[in-house]
Amino acid sequence: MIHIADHTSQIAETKSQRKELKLKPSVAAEIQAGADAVGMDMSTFMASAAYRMALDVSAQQHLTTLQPDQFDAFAKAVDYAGQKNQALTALFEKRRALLKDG
Amino acid sequence: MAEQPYTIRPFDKALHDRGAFSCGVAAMDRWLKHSVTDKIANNRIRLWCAADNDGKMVGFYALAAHSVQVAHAGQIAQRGDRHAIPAIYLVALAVDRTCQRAGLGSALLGDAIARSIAISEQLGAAALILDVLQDETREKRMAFYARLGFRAVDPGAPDRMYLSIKAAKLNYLSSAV
Repeated sequence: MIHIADHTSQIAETKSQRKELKLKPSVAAEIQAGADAVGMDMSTFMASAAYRMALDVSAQQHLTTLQPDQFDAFAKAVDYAGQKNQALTALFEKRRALLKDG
Repeated sequence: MAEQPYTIRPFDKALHDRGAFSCGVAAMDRWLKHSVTDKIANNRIRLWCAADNDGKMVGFYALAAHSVQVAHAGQIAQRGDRHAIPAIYLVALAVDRTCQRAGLGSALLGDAIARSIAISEQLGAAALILDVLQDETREKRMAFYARLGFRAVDPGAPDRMYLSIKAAKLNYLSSAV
């Protein structure tokens, strides 16, 4: 049997929040099949997957993880100022024309 | 120079009516209305809002601290040759439908980049990073950012793009002359 961890299992809280969902029948069936395949009830399976995705989304706003080659290329690129860029200069001019600090 | 038509300042519930704002991208409008208050209170993001002379909120952008690290950083850091690179993340940027196609989005992006330069001078940040919105105009948006000097952080995931702060600063200083 495939093992999937319940990502909410370490949270020491009572399940006091009730959520009602409307699902497309085929989506509900697929989720139920997935939960059955790993021996979880559907509620736990959905909560765990959604919780994991929520944590991933939050992490992506604050962290980028690169493989060593990509990281080295990025590190080298950000140390290089490059050439003057007319489009970027125009962007700053647009800012000065339209925005003032409040 | 004529008086600028919009004022930009940090988000203030008393000044900025999020309920009246609509940029036409439902996910962005929903994010503005439901996701920002706690994140600001908990110091995860800062939201900057533009308002017209009548006080109507017409655009915004949000910035967050970001870090670029190498996979398996713990093991590699022990060898002492790679360290995480501090960056700034442009969480979101949008313009109200009533003010689109008039340059306000460009002005807000220019302000976000200028503010990132200022932040980098306070604590160090090597790049401004953003994720290109994946809608029907994705290719057009990517071309727009590429013209400004943004590049893919990882060629395998081209929607996450960065602009080096050094490049931004070079052009910011030259535009001020």
